[in-house]
Amino acid sequence: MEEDFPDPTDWIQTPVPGLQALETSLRCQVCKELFTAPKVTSCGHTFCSLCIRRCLSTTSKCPICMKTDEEPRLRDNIVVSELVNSFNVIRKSLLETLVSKKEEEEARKQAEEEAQQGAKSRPKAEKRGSYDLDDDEIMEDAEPVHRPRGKRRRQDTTTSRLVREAEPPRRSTRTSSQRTNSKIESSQSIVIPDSDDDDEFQPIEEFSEDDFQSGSRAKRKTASRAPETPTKGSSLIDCPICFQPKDRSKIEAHVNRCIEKKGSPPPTPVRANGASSSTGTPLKRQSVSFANVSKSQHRPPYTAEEREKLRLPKGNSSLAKEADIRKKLRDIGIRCDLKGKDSKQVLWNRLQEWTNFWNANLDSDNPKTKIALIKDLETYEKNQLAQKPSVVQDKGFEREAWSNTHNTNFEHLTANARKTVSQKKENGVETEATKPPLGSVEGRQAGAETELSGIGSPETVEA
Amino acid sequence: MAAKAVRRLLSEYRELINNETEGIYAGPIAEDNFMLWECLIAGPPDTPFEGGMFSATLKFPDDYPLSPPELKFTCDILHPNIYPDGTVCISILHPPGDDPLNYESASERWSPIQSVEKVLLSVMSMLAEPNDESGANIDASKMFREDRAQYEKIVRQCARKSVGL
Repeated sequence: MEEDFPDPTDWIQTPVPGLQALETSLRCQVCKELFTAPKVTSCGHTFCSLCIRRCLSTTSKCPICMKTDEEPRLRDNIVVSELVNSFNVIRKSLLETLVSKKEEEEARKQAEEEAQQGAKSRPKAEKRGSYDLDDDEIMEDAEPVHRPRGKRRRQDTTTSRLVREAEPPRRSTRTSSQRTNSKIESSQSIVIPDSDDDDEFQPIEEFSEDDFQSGSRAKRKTASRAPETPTKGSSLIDCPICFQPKDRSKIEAHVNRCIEKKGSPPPTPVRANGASSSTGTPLKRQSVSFANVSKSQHRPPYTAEEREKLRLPKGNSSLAKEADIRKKLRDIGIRCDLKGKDSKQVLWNRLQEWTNFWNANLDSDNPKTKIALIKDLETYEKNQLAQKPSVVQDKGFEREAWSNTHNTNFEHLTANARKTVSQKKENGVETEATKPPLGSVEGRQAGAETELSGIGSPETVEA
Repeated sequence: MAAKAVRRLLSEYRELINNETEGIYAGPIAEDNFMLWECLIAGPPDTPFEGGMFSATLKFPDDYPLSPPELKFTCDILHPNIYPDGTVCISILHPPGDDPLNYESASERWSPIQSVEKVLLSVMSMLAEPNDESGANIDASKMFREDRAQYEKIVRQCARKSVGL
C-alpha cells in the first residue's frame, strides 16, 4: 500500500523500546496517526481536530470516557501540538540512529571479546588515538540525537571528565597526566596532534553526507578494533561532510566549518520552541518550516480572532429546511445533485461534513484553501459511496441477471401496489395499505430487500 | 475504499503483527480489500472452549472507526451470545449511543478508540463467561442454564472440530 508507514512498534527493535509508549501517546486514538491540530475536550482527552469533530457530530460524547461534550468547548492543545511537531522532525533520524547504534553495539561487543583474547599478547595496544574522540563518545552515549557539532564544545568539562573516569576499564590505561591534557584540550577546543602510540584510522567508507554522527561512530568502531590491525601510515582523514582528505590535527575545525557551510543542521526541538515563544502566538509556530509549501494549496495559519469569526455553527437538522441547506451549499461552492436529486438527509450530511472539514482546517497549522478543501470533501464523499455496494451485495451477485429472472415478480409486485393504492383512494381508508404487497413476496424473494425497496416500495409509500 | 478507514486498519494490522497478543490472530483476507478480515480466536483456557481455534470474519464499515465492525463466526460454535448464523452479540460491537432499553450502559459500547485487538479480547472473555441474561441463541442459553453438562459436551465437540479433530 504505502511504502512509508511509520508505526509505534518501530521502536521495539531499538535499544529504547520505551519510546513505543511515547509515540503511542502522541497519536490520536481515533485515527491512530500523529495528532494534527490537537484539540482537548472538556474531559481532558486529546484528539485530532477533524476526528473529534466527526465523533461529536455522530454522538456528542467523548470517545474515551463517554462524557457528553460539544464542539464549541474544544480547546487547542498547544503543548501536544508542539510535541508532535518536534517529534515529527526528529523521528526518522532518531530511529535510524538508534537502530544503527544497536547494530554497532553488537559489533563492538564482538570486537571487545576478540580484543580480550588478544590482550594477553599485546597489553599496551589498547591506547586511544585522540582524546577528543572520547568527548564525542560520552556525549553520544548520553544523548544520541543529532546536534550541531559546535555545541559539544561548551559542555562542562568536569562532568564529562567524571563520566570518563567511570567509563569501562578499557580506558584505565590512561595516565593522570594524559587526563589533564584532555581536559585542557576539550575546554579550549584545540586539538593537539597525538604523538604517543598512534593507532591508525582507516579511511571510512560508510560516511554518509548528512549523518556525521554515524561517521564519528564509525571512527570509534575502527578505533576499538585497532588493536587487531595496528598499522602505521599517513595522518590524513576523509572529512565526513565534503569527503576531502584533511590532516588529522585540523579535521575538527574543518568539520565545523563544513557543517556551517552546509547550513542545514536538522532543526531541533529547542529551535521549534524558540520560534513559537518569540512570535508570541503559538499559531505561527510552523510558518517557517512550511514556507516552501506552494501557495496555491496552503495559506498562513489563522489567528485566534480570525478563527472565531470564521467558525461555522453546526445547526439543527430538524429545524433546517432543504432549500436553506441547498442555498448554503451553493453559496459555499459545493455542488448539489451530482447524480440525480439528493435527499435532504444527504445534503445535510454533506453540510455537516463540510462544517467539520472547515472548522478543523481553521485549527490546522497549514490550512488549505477553500478550493482544495471542497475537493477533499468531494473525494471523501466519493470514497464513502464507492464502498457501499460491496457492503450490501455478495461477491457473486449480479444485479442484471437477478432482475431478469425475477422480472415477473417485480411486475406482479408493482401491479399489487397500484391496486392497493387505487383501492385505498376509493375507500379512503388507510388500513394495512403496505402489508399485502410486502407479505405476498416475502417467501419467494428472501434476501432481495434491496431490490424490493428500489422498485416495490415507492408506489406503496407514495400514497 | 475509504482512505481514512484503510489507514487506520493498516495501523492496527501493523500493531497486531509486531506486538502479538496471545490467542488472537487477525488480518485482511485479500490485499485488495482491507475492509474484510479473517481472524482466529483461541478458546480461553479452563473453559470447555479450551484447545479450540475459532475462525471468524470481521467486516468493517466504510466509516470505521466511527461505526463498529461486524464479527461473524465461520465455524460451528455453540454459545448463548452467538446467533446460530455465527453473528456475535456483544456490547462492544453495538453502535454508540444509549440503549433504549437501558440494559447496556454507553461506556460498554463501541467507541472509535476501540480496536480489533480489544474487540477480539472481549469476544474471548465472552466465550469464557457467557451472559445468559440476554441470549442470542435461545437454545444455547437454555441448555447453558438447565443442562450445563450437555452444553459443555457440545462445546468441547465444537472446539475439537474447529482444530480438525
